Amino acid sequence: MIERPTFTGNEEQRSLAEEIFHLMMAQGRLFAFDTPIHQTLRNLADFYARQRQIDPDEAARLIDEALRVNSQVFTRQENNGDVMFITSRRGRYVPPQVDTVHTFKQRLHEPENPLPVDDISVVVTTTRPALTTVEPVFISEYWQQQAGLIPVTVEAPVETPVAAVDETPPVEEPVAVAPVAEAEQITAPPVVPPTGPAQVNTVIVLPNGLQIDLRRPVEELMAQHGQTLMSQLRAAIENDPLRRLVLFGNQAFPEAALVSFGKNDLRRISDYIKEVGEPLLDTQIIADIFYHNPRQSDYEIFRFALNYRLSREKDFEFVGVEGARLWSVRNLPAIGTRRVKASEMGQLAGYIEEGFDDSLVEQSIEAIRKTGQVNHVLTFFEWEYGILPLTRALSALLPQPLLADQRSAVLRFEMPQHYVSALVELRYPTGNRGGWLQGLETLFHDYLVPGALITLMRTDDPRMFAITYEEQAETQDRLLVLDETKKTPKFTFANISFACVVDTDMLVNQQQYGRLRNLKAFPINERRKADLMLEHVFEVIGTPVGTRTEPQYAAPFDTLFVAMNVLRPVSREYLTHLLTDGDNFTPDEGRPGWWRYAPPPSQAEEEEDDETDEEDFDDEE
Amino acid sequence: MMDGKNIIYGETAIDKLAQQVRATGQPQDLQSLTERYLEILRELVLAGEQQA
Repeated sequence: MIERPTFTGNEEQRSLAEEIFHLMMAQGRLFAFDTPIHQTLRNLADFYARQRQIDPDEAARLIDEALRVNSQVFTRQENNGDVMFITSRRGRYVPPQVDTVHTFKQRLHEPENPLPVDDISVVVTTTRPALTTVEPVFISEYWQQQAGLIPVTVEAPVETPVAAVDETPPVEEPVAVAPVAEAEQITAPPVVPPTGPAQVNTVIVLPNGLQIDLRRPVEELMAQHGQTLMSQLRAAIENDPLRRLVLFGNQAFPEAALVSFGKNDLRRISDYIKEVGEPLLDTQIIADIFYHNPRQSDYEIFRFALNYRLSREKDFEFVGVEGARLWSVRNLPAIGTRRVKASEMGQLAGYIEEGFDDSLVEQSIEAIRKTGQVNHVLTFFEWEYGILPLTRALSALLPQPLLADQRSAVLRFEMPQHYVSALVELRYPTGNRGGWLQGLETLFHDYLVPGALITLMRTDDPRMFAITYEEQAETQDRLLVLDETKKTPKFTFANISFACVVDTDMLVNQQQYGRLRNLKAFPINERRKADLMLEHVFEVIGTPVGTRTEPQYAAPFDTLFVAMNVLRPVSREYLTHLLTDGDNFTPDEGRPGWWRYAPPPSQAEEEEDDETDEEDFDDEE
Repeated sequence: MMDGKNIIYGETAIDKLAQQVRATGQPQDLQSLTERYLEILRELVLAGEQQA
């Protein structure tokens, strides 16, 4: 609301002051009530002199006198000799006063005088989040200092005391609760001399919950928690969406610094591997395709880049081991027999993953690792198909997969006694399917027989292994063979010469195991049913001890073991499990080491109709 | 300087680790990588203490 001011002085002065007031009101009619309206004395004098036709100096004198008298309306200011009068639409000029007693700026940016907080735990959380991952909580330095989480920045010579903090600090610092006005008067906490380095929380928590105190030396931490630390770091690097570091095997390098390979490069590599016809080493690919020299400074980075890029291409498969990085492509010739499919063999060797592996009974893992060799007696199945189940003994000898998702590795087995070698595929176990070696068919058939005592050895080359055997004078015997020349494969005995030392109990000759010619050469996929195979083996090789209405078969354990290993691989432990677990198998109480098989009644009746091959018994006699 | 509670193993200071590995000019095996990383984290949490 506009106030009408009261003017003082004589009549002329009051009239002049009122006229000037109206003049300035007109000048500032759009101003706010409190906004000052400025006008210089010179401007007013010029206007008044022109209007009254008088001398400007005289006019200035009259105006100055009139407005001085009305100083409650006009505020007079002098600046460098210029006189200025100020008023406002309110009829007086009130200089603005800024209230700086309490500002938002102070609350935020001047922690020297903070507002009191009743409970510091409102600001600094002392409880761990429920989630296993520790999310960073960003707290201003000031409050961290107040909580004692970080040392206070000290201004010499005064040092603020810092409270020691535990690993799980129940932080409660005394905080002033006085009102704002009194905050400045609060005396600083008592100054104590520094007693030593401030304690900081040096314990970190790994994603698996393991707590690591970084105050301890790195060597000590690695010695105690090395495997966990490495596996956790590996997992973090593999899961990093930014791929700041990438891994190949046990090596790491920033992805941004790696050479890139185009489609053309990959095609050339693929064509080259196909042309050679077997998996190739990374070093060979680099030398033959990219002409990169190992003496070049970036050779190792180039090599890492090649391996890393190929590992991300679905057309390439890593089949190497630590120290020999081999790459294969699709449509390469298969290594080893095609008579046994990978899925079938995985199931046949599944007993190893089920825990029925007794390969370490005679040789410990430590001994195998130390000597670098494994002794083994060949079974008929292994000899026939050139396959060795990946027992724990063999696992201790052979290289472990370099990549987590590696399916197989290609090795070379040589026979130093004959200067021959063969490519062998090592299939790693997956889930409940066992692993195995395949590709030894030629070596076995050319120089060995079932029952041969062989030794598998490591060499200096990580992907090269040796098979040796003890030689003896050449012997000829009628040994079991699988005749696949006819439409239906059939077991038979044939004259075979051999010059290797054999375990005579495991030598499948006609003299000991003549009845095995009646074994049915089941398709491989049926042989995974070990209990059915055992029943068939009992019926073929067992001695009939029952009656015609209640037939029973008895056989010694060792014979069953040899016969079962004609059809499929089994360990002694697995065979024991089958015998003890089967409903129709019982130990022969009269003869230790013998077992009996009593076919179920329905099955026995069917078998009565079948003709018995009398020749079997002739062989036995 | 950093509080141990704010360190996420495998995330905190991975950039610095990558820089160091790159500077070596050779791919690093996982063991030496882990040792390097622990050194970096150690420096982070102990820097303040040493300053004090």
